[in-house]
Amino acid sequence: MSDNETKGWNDNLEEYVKECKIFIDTSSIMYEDSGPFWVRLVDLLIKNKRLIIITQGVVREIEKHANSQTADNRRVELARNRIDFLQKLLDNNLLYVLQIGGVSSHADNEIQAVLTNYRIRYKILLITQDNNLAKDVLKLNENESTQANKIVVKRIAPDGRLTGYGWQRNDLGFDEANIKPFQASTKLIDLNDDPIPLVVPVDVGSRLFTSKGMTVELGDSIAAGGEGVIYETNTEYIAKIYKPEHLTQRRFKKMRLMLSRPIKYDGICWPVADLYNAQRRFVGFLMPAAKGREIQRSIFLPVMLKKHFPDWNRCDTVELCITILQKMIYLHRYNIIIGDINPGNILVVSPKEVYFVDTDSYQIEGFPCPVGTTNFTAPEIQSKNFGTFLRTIGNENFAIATLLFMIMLPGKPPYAQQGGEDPATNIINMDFSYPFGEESNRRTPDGPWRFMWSHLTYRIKESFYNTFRKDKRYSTESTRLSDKDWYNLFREYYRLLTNGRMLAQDPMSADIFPTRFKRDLNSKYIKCMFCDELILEESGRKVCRKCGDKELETYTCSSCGKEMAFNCHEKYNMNLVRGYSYCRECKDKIVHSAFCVTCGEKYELTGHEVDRYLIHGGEIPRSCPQCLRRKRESVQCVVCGREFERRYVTEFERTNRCVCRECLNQVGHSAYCTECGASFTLTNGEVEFYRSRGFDLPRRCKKCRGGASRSAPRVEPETTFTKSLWEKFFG
Amino acid sequence: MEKISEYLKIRIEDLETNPTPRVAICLCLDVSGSMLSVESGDFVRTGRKITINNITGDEVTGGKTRLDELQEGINSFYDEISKDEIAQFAAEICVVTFGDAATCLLDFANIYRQEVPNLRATGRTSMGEGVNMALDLLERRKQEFKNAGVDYYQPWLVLMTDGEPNGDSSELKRAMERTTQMIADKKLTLFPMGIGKDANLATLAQFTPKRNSIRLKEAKFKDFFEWLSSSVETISQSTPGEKVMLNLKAMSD
Repeated sequence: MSDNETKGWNDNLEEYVKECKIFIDTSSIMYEDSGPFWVRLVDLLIKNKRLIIITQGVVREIEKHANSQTADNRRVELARNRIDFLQKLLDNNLLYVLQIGGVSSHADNEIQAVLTNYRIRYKILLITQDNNLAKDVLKLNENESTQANKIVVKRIAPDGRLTGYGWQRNDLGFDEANIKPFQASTKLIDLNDDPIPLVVPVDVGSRLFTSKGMTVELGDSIAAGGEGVIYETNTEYIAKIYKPEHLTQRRFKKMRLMLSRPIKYDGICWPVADLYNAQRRFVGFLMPAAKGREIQRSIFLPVMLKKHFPDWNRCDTVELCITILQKMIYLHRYNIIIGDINPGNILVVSPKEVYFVDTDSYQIEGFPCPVGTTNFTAPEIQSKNFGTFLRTIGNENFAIATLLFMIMLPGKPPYAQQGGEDPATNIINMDFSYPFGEESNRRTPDGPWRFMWSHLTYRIKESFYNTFRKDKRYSTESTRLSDKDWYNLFREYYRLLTNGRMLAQDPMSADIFPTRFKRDLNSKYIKCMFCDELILEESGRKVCRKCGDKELETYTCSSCGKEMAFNCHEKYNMNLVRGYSYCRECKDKIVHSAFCVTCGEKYELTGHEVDRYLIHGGEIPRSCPQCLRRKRESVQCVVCGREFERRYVTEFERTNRCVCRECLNQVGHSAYCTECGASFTLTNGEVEFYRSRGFDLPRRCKKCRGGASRSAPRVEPETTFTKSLWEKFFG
Repeated sequence: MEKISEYLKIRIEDLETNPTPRVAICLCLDVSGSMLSVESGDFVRTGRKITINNITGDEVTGGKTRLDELQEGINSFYDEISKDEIAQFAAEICVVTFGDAATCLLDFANIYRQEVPNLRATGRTSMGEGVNMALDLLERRKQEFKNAGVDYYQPWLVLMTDGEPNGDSSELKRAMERTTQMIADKKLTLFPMGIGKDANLATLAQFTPKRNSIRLKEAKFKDFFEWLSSSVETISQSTPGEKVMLNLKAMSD
């Protein structure tokens, strides 16, 4: 991954200059410390032949400052200075002053009107130091009905860089409201958790009251859970009525505490009022209704994901993560710990519309979240009883990372792995199995999961790896990445997916279920023989996975007659000459028995063993497996000293010496005949033959030695094997 | 005709592409001759006596046999599980029957690929052989999960009989030892169900370390399998290893 990609687009002024219409507001022009910024900007404008835009209203405002009679001489001085500066820009074609009809309109309104218009056609950057203007302009972005570009709003920092607004940096869509955060408590509440006896049971049609005296009538019941029943009401809200055994003093106090903060955020089903029966006994609460499907019944089941969200790609799952993180950041801001983060408590309508339910179980001050599930429980609190301690934000961050992982690899828990133990043990061991760089325990689950992992961005992989792998950078309670860290990572991921950079490298990175690894820029790829799919050259494969399944021929099992396909993968990737002759059921049966031509023993081969020879175009061997193995052993030629497989040498069994074929008929001994005095030679083979028989080497030449019976036989390659067979039977 | 590569592909695809933790369930069912006895529905006594496996009873026409009831129970089990989004991806079912011999009627697969097999009654009650085969199949599937990196719950074995085991006694003893050990090690959940008044509960109890078994009320198969499928739903929403309470009391006599 290039450096550019990881740095992100936002910090880069040059990108804005190239791609956006840049508007600058009075407040930024009049900003005293903007000098270093102007130097940068003017350079870039000249280099890229671009200009900036101001409205006529801005010019008027600055002129007003320049001509004002106030005591603030510095400001007047600055305004005059700026007018000169703007004039220079204008002279050099680096500035355009937008003329707008209606002289009286305020400069801020003017800018908003212009931007509303312009953003339909152009990407826009507005530079302003004015908080209120920035907020108003960003609100324009929320208008979903217009198919327009999002306006980027930035301010000038004293060091000459552009920065986002503190409250807007994450585009979280909420202001710091005047809600007092809950206390960050470390002490568990000590309150009676015994049920309060309920005289009048509550059911459909019951009339209930809120603490503020409003009357609420229960409608039909919608759902029932372990703790209570959900009803429709005659209000816009729904009611959760606790079962009698769950109505306790502790629950009542917790509800009162929750209601002390008017937490209000899209999709968070926070209680809005407590409910009492006719006896003024606490029975439950009102909350906004949720919509959508539980994550565990949609995203986490690939079949259901494809069924319910058929158009989704990775941009959508990444956006879903962002939406979920926004809500978590909001909750954490008020010291609310979700505790039981779990795919059954989050409902999805679309990537942007998500509902958090079961909020009454959240951990508030000293009230613990009494429930949880193994997969989302950090190793340090595994197998602890959830009701007996307060979770930390570090515990929560583990659950967040797990949820994000299981959305990106839909439904797969991070620690599921080959040869793994049960999930709790796997989490405690922290033996994370997905590879990062060269590091991997090589136990990644089979199937498409490693492809999904491979297509994540480098930084997301790095972050997951360091979070889930023991003794890594973010692997402990206090070092885990926070919701905001993940938020920024996923925003960056989203940008890379949507600005085309990632998909230029590999379009498959947009798939939720990719079918191969991400393309590596440093590797070479070849095209599949049958389609346009790319295959890593060094893999040696010639057809892609999909085309690999294509059936070429049909073979029938030689044992049971079952039909078997011979497919492209077998032919082109495995380089098989023909299909298998024995089916899965018959492959372990003995299908061939014969006498070994080498040792003479009877031997048997299973279907699988026979196929091993046939599929590569070979024949069924005539020697037994032991002899074949022996023949493949490596031995040294006693003459030249080189190593050969035994089957390529002539072996002299009695002396246990081997001579390679090359040396066999070369001269190994020369002497003068003691009888006729002529010189004669012996080959290496002849020398070894005499040695193996315990004979001395002949001192007379062949002629003088006479008859054939006394001459050494010519030693042919391989003869030792047939000879030993001969000896076996007749020797 | 089955194409072997197709079969293998499906088996592997099932294992690899589905992330849901699995619960392997083996239904180990008695299909001995006595399962043909009629206990419900409209039936008429013919007035003759009939003897099967040394048990003599009235011959009847019409009505529903225990086997019919069991078959209906299994059908509804499949129906119920396929209605639940999570359970249908979590449950993997295999069916072993034991009569004259143990037979694997249906091997493991995701249930939406399976067809409910038809049960057929045959002769004796080779319970030991049946249970051993069931345990072998469960063990093999567990290993496959492990090799592929799929999370799994400890498997379930539903053992149903309406009589006394009369297969090989050493096989029976081995089966009892195996289940007892596995349950003690928390590696197996066993549901030992006796059907009707002739079922030997004492024998069934020997399959468990705590020596308990349950007599299923006659013609209660459907209720049992409904309960079983709702238990699958409950467990499939938990994480493997978590404690989940399964209350079987309601089913017993």
